[in-house]
Amino acid sequence: MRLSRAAWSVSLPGISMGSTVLPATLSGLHLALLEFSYFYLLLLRVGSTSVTCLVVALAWMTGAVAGLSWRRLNPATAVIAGVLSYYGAGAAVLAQPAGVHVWPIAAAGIGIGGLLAGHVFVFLLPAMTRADRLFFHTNNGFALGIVAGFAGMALLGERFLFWIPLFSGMVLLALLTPLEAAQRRALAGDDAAVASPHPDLAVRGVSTRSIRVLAVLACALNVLFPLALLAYAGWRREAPWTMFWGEGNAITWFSAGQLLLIAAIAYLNNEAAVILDGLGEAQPRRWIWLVMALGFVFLAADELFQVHEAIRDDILRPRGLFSGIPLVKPGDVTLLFYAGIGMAAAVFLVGELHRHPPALGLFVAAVALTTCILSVDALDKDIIGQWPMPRFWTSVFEEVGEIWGQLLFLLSFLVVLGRRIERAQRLGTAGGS
Amino acid sequence: MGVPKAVIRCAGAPRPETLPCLTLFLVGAALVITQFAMLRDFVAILSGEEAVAILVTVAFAVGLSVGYALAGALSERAFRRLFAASAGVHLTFPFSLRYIAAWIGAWELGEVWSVGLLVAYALLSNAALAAFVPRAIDRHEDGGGEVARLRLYYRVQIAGSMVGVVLVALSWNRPAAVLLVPYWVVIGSILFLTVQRRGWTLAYAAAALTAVLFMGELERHSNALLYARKHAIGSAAVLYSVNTAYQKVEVVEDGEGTRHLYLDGRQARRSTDLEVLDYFAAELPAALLRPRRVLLIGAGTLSCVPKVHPYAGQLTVLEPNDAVVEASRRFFTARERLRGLERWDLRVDDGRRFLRRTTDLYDLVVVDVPAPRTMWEATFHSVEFFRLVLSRLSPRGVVAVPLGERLRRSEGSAADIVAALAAVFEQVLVVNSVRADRGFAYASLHLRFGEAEIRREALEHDSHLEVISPPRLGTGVARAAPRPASVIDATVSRGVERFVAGYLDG
Repeated sequence: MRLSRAAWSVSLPGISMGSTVLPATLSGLHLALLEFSYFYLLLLRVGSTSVTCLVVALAWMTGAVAGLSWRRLNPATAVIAGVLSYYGAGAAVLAQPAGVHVWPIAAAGIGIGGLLAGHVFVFLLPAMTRADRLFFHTNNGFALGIVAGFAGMALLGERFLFWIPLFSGMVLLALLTPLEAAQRRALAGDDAAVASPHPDLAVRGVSTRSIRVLAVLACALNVLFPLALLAYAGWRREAPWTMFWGEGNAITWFSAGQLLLIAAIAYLNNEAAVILDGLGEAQPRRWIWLVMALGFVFLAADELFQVHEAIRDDILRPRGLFSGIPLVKPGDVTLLFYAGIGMAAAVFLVGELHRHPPALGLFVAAVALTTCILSVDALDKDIIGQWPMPRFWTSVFEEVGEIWGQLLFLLSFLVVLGRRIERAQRLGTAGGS
Repeated sequence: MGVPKAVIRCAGAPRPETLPCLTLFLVGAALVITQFAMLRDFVAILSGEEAVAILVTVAFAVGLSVGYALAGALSERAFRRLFAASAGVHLTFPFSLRYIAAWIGAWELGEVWSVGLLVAYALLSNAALAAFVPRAIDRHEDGGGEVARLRLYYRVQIAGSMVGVVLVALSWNRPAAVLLVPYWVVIGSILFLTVQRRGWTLAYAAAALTAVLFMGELERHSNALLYARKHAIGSAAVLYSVNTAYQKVEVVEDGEGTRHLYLDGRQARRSTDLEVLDYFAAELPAALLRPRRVLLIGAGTLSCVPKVHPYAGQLTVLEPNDAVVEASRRFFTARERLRGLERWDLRVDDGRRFLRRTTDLYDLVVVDVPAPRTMWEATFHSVEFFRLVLSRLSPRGVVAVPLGERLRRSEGSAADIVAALAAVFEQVLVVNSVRADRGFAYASLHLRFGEAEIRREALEHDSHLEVISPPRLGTGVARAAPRPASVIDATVSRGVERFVAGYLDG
């Protein structure tokens, strides 16, 4: 059974455009970062021969051709296989960079990574409906990925190559999985969709189960990941806070990934509001979700690239600007500025959340926890120095509190998304019948 | 006008997809060749930085995006005209961009104009090519689903790209014509299949034939003008110019007969400097050590060989780029100077790969690689690389590393390299030569020579030497963090700073 084009393009004004532009762009971004990482991994760790260029280019293209041809492949498998093969090939290459096995293994890994480079077009074309738009958005993501790859190397060094495919793969997976579910459901109900297209067809794929799975997964990860870091520190016979200390470590990447996920969910809330609007239920404040999405993307960038630290160390502190605020470390006024903007946005968001009670409660808890963490972060070190286990507060407590605060925001937004999708389903069904 | 008869005859009874498939196959090949040609020429014009290579790649991708954005908006007629214009631009490539870059240099317009030139070329050359595949998928009227057409057409284009990669690989280390001629034939074929006007195709063919006839002269003149105007080399004559897998290799002779080796538009060696550089990098430590086995990594000019040979039992030269060896043999180290020297051999291989595989131990290893400006060059100055060198050094062996600049402060690439050496070796000694205008580091677990020996041996080569021995060195490099791969990280950061200062700050 073939997916009906009409079911996607005519009847899904919100999902067909909005929800495929982002996955297309992020697919391009992920593919660029994966290829970039492979290239520099081989260049820096194995050696530069003309073989490097040929292997990367030809294996990638072979993978793309296979991805275009393989009918039973699904995008989630392609993303996971690509990321796993990167780490598998990377481990094999790093273990014996001079071995004769290096190039065949690298070629196989790159080829598997390239599967998505072909398959993503096959997967997204029905939803995007026009190949020029699909190529345009995917290629924009690719260009962005090259810039992001280089910026990442410039800011974080070689360790960037270690983390980025996992990080971008996770974000992409979170976006592609609901779309894939929608496509599966649309395929299952293709005949009915053609006979009587409902506006909520793709939304059903995003709804209920996938949101619940995502929420449970997020809760589990937010508990298990810090525990794993603590266990790792113990195994290395180091103090517990060493894994949480400083910037650019594993918890930073986790946090940035989670912030991007929140941004994606906020964006999807706007998409759901657009659909409800189309169904006759006015959503006058839906713009706030776009603001929230942009805000969380900025916070992810701040987390990764230490923007507020740079403002503090390079601009405010050397010039002594805003240094006289009681209890606040010199230069850390930026955090208060962030908090102020967040509070202003929250005023508008409350109007959106109050119709979904658990969402508002979760949001308030998130704000309370984040305020608490920000206060500890901005407190003068002399004050924290008087507390018991001062390093615990400025590392483990601060970092874990931060990601749990993010988790509460995520859950709050997911509740809204779930409710809106249910509402859209009801309105769509009523309209269809 | 319908499908060209030639195509119908060749294909017998062609399926409806035959013509678009053939076109897309050629488009795939053309895109890869364009990308390679743009990368090599623009990186050379914008001076061989890592950031420049990224910028060129991004500009290429932006050109593709513009093509995708236009694909659905253009009528068939407008698209044919756009492609015909684009084919004309392809035909002037890469000579026209060199001339324009030379004028930008001559008129001192600022490097930001060179970046503008790059973007303009990316748009003019790629946009039309990029539009083919989405147009074929979206506009094809022969039935079948768009997903089926996507599978077919995109696969064919990628297959063409793979052939393009092979063509590019076959052109490495060969004159420009080896790639340009098939490239123009491919573009001409696409023009014939797309525009389907014999007059236009004949005009293109005539122009291409003229360009091929004058290609040698165009190549020499455009390159020479670029070096004269942009690099301010008076009466520049380009003696050698080839693209390789690694970089663009060029030998330029100025009006006074001095020869310059340029790698990706960056000066790597000057014939008048070789004497003093070779002396401090290789001859001085060889004279002091009298080593049994010597390894020269990256000494592709071969000029070190006759100088080190008298002191060494066996000498091995490693150079990954055989075009550098070829250029050196022809223009820097005449065969006569190497004649009669028997205890040496040349291997075209990557230094790291060789060190990992060899079982030999060396008494002296000279790392004569350009100062790190790209990540690849930086890997030869990293802690990890020096650990690898240490594993192939005899117990009292020494590694000698030219620093690219004098060690003057705790920042900069020289300090980074010395810090990386200090992280691996017990003893590091740096010589700052006024005459060579750079520093040279010697490192070992047990250095067999010190300041006095160096001053005595090198007196006649440079009487104003500054020798920085370990105690002073410690204070000099203390702030350069000797962590693994720090040289690579610092090289990228510095490259970005240089790029922004050079190209974007007006």
